[in-house]
This record gives sequence, C-alpha cells and structure tokens, in this order.
Amino acid sequence: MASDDALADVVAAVLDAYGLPEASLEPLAGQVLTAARERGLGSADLAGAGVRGWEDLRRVLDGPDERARASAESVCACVNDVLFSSPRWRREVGYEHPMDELG
Amino acid sequence: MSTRWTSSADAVVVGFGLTGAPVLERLLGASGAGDVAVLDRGAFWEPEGHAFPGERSLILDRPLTVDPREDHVLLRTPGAGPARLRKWWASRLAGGGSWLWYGQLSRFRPSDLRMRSAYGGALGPEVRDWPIDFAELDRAYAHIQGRLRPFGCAYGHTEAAYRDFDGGPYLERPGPSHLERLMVDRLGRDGLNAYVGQSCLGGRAWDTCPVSPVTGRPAERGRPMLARPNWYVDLYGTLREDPRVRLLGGCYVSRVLVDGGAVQGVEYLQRDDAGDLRTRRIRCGTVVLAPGALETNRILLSSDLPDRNGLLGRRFTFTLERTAYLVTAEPRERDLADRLAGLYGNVVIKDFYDLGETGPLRKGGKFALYDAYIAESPARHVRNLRMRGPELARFLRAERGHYVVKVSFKGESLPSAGKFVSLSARRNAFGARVPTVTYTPHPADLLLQERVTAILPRIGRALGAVETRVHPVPSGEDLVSAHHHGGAVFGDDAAQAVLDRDCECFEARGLFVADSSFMPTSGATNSSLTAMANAHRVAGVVAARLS
Repeated sequence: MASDDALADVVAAVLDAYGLPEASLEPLAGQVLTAARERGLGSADLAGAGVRGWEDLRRVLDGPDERARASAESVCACVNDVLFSSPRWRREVGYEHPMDELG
Repeated sequence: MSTRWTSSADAVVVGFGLTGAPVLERLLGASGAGDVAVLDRGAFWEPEGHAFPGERSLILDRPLTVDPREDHVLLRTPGAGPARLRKWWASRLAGGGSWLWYGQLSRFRPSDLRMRSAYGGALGPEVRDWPIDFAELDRAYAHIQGRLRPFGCAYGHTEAAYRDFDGGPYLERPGPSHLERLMVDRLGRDGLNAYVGQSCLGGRAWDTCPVSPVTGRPAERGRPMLARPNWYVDLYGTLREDPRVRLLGGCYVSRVLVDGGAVQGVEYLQRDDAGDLRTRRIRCGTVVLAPGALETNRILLSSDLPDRNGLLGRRFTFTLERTAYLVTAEPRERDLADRLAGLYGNVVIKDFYDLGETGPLRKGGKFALYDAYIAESPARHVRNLRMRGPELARFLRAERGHYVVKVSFKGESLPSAGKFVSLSARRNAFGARVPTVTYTPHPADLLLQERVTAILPRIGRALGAVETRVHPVPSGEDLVSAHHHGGAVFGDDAAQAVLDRDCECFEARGLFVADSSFMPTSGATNSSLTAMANAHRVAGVVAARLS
C-alpha cells in the first residue's frame, strides 16, 4: 500500500538521522512501524511527499502543508518514543542513560 | 419525583489524591465521622505483583482506569477552535485519574494572598485577596510538610531562612551535588538568590524512579513507591482497615444533589460486572470535593446549584509555564550524589521580582533548575527538547559529556474575564457534558513572560552556558499546565465568591471544596503544597461540623 510505504520511508528517514548501526535498522524500524500502526498513524498525507531521507523529511516538517507536517511530526515522535524508551535501543544509538545501570 | 438513593453516609469525600488524603486523615482523626464513603475514578485494587493500588499508573503508557478517550477536557484559546487539553502527567497517586502529582514543594508567600491590596483594581475586578490570614495557611503548611517529609538540602540559605522560604521539617538528603553547588554559587555571584529546594515522592519525571533518595540503593523493580517514605501508602493502609470508611473505586461522579440550599447527596456512575454503567446515589449531608480543579468545576457546573451570580467556573487559571535548556561547558560528574540530585533536587530562584525591578507588576514566579539528563526519563526528555534528526542527535551527544540544565519557570497567572470553565454540548462516554477551558491570557501574564524571556538568557550567562535554548511562550494547544486553580473561589462575600472562607459553598451548605478550585489567585510558585495545606484546614471545619 502506498501509505504504508510512505510510513516506512518516513520512519527510515528519521532513523537515518541518528546514525544507527546497520544491523539495528531493520528490527528497530519494524518495532516503530508496529507502534505507529497501534497509534493509528497512517501517512496518507505523506504519500505524495516523496520522502527519501532526512532532508526530504525536514522539508515536510518545515513546509506549509499542515496535514503533512502534523503526520510527519507524529511519526517522528513515535520513532523517538520507541527508541528512547528502551535501554537496548538507547545503547544502540549511543545514548546510555546514567540511571540504566542503577535500575 | 423523589430521588432514589442507593445508600447513605455521614460524609462523602470525592477523590483520594493530593487533597483528598489530608481531608480523610483529619476527618477520621476526629469523632463524628462514623460512616465515610470515598469515591475515586480509579480503582482501589491490588494488581498482581504490586503492593500499592494505582502503582502501575505512575508508569507512563499504562492505561488509566478511566480511559482518557472516554473522558477529556477541551481547551479554547484565542484564535483557535477547541482542542483537547493535554494532560501533563498521566499519573495517579492512589487510584484516581489525577492531573498532577506533587514533586516540588514550595510555599506561597504572604504577598501571594494579597494581590488586590497590593495593586488595587489595576489588574482587573477578578483579582481579589484571599479571605484568610497567611498565619492560618502557615499552620497547615507545617502539618502537611510534617507528613510528607520532603527531601531537602539548605545549600544557598541558612537553615532558618530555608525553613522560612520552603518550610520544614524535611529529610536531609545527600548534597549539594557538584552541579547544585556550582549553580547556586554562580547564580549568587550574578545577584540571583538561588538555593537548593525541596521535593517529594522523588523523581519528577522518572515515574519508576529506581533508587532510594537517601541510600542510593536500587529499588525493587515494579515497586518504586515502596522504596521511599510515603505518607500516602501508610494512610491508604489505615483507611483500608478502618471500619468507618468505604473506599469505592471506579466511580465517575456526575453531580452533587442539592435542595433548599443544602447538599442532599452525590450521584455517580459505576460499571457493573457486565460493563454497563449504573447510576448510584449516596444520601449524605456533607460532601467534600477533592478531585482536582478541572473535575470539581465539571461536577459543580453539572450540579443543582442555582449559580445566581454566574460565578461557577469563573477565575480559573493555570500557572504560567516556560522552559529553557542550557548546555554548560562543565564536564559531567559520574558520582552517585550527582545522580541523586538530578532525581530529587532542584536549584530554586524564587524571588527574582524582588530584585529592584520596576513596573506595574512586581510579582513573578519561581525558576527551578535541574539536571535534565538525569531528571527526565529519556523518552520524555527527547519529547521535551522539541528537536529532531541530526540536531537532536548532536544535542544528546553533547549532554552525555556536559551538564545540561533545564530551567522550568512557574509564574503567577492572573484571573480575568477571559479565563473560565464552561460545559460544552459534547458528551463524554459517561453521558456527561465535556468541560471546556477558555483561556485568554491576562495582559500581565504576557508582561511577565516578556520578563522571563529576558531573565532566561541572564541565567544562561551566569552559568556560563555555551548554548541557551529558550522555548517560545506557550500558546494554543501548548498552553497547558499541571497547576489548575479557581473556578469555585472562596471569599467573604456571597456576591463575589462561590465558597465562604471555610470553603463551604454559599449556595449549598454542607458542600465543601478542598482542592485548588478555591484559589482566588494562583500564587507565584507550584501550588500543590498550598492546596494540600488548605485541604487540611478545611477538613478541620468539616470534622467539627460532623462532631
């Protein structure tokens, strides 16, 4: 489906910005897509935006299309929630938290 | 048609949270309350593996007993249609659907109660003095702080001055940390009166805070609250064993029943075993509302009150909010005291408005400064930063090596004709009309935000920040606060206030309000301690009445 592809493209674009190890990208993207669908995030509004990387996504985020921008922001928030809620993914992104080792 | 009562009680307390707890403690410590029903939206349950009801609710992303999709509040701001008011915390203390929980405990000042006297009518007719003396509040502060025993560290003050500012007693915690000492010293050199403040329950954002604030030992997973001294845990245990108390969870209070100027009882909805909503009514001559200002306003507006002066829902305010993140050049220490201070401590600048500034409004608010990297759970921290992509990645790398200070401002938000709660035509899942908060900033709110815009960079310079990111003045859907006040304010004159000085409703004797709805003005700091202190004061009146 076009909107599902667009969702995957946007997720990939956000993850691209964090410089994650190659091996982490696929499982993390899968987890994010699941969370995004659970939240009811579709990206029909982004289907025609042609997002193929962070710079494309940044243009949408800074652009005048409010619906596309809102969708892109929701997907960005979803990626961050998945990524930074998990000690495992935090380690992958190089953001170990000082409390992780205490907890 | 005569009312069909399903049960009766001497008194009903609505809400077992911040303010319901002090009410119940005092009520049951006196004679006369032989049968007290406690209604809460949450469930008084013991989930498997958890020792305290509602404990799971302190973890974000777990469902509330009352689903937010079933019950919400609308926000209407200038130039924008109604949108859902965002919850600051999706957390509960003891089973409820609370909009806030206390983290930082800060006392009001005597001047906070005398805005009308200080400024005359210049700030508008809605701004009025409190009808009580500060000394009455002061006594109640001492009682509540004695119960809560917040964690403190008097660095930046003499012990006596510290108690005068934020009260006592408090539990001495390790510290000051390296960062706290550094901040207090540098801000002091710049003429800003800073000190290490008090906080409670531990972990302003690490809802599952994994370490004890005193010992630094990791808490047992899944039982974060039991790792700390917690008055609520003890009180709940006492109430559960008390034969005079009925704890009723999962109750959605729809209205207070009033007849002939006196309260007759409470109507609420509860799901039966099949999941169907059932209407129940408790007959009683005394009702204490303590579910939080938003809920109290909804309940009062839905009740049988004549509202002869059109005051219900009026003079509702949020505390003004503002945030900045400062990236310092100071390398991050890795010792335990530093981490604990990040969780439990905060450096406070409370009286910036007394620094010789001039202008029509000399009151202000309170800045709390803390180590955002530690204090905020990572996912929330990233949300709060409001950055994305490479910019976010760069920022996160920087703060791993250097201190990043979050500056959180809480300021006085003045009541005005443009701030009120009303009921919309929309109905929620319980069939109740959805409340709408209309919020048009008072001109003085905007003036204060202008000052804050100037002060935040000053704080950044004082701390030697290499980067200062000041978030814009919140507007529209971002105009949200955990501190809700007013809507049923107290006063001496029935033509000007919903409640009398004892917080008993002028139009319904026997109906008391014990949460922050009573506040005529919001004060210039966090308000939860003041709301709890007043609840203790009001409960004394209720207890005497029942006796």
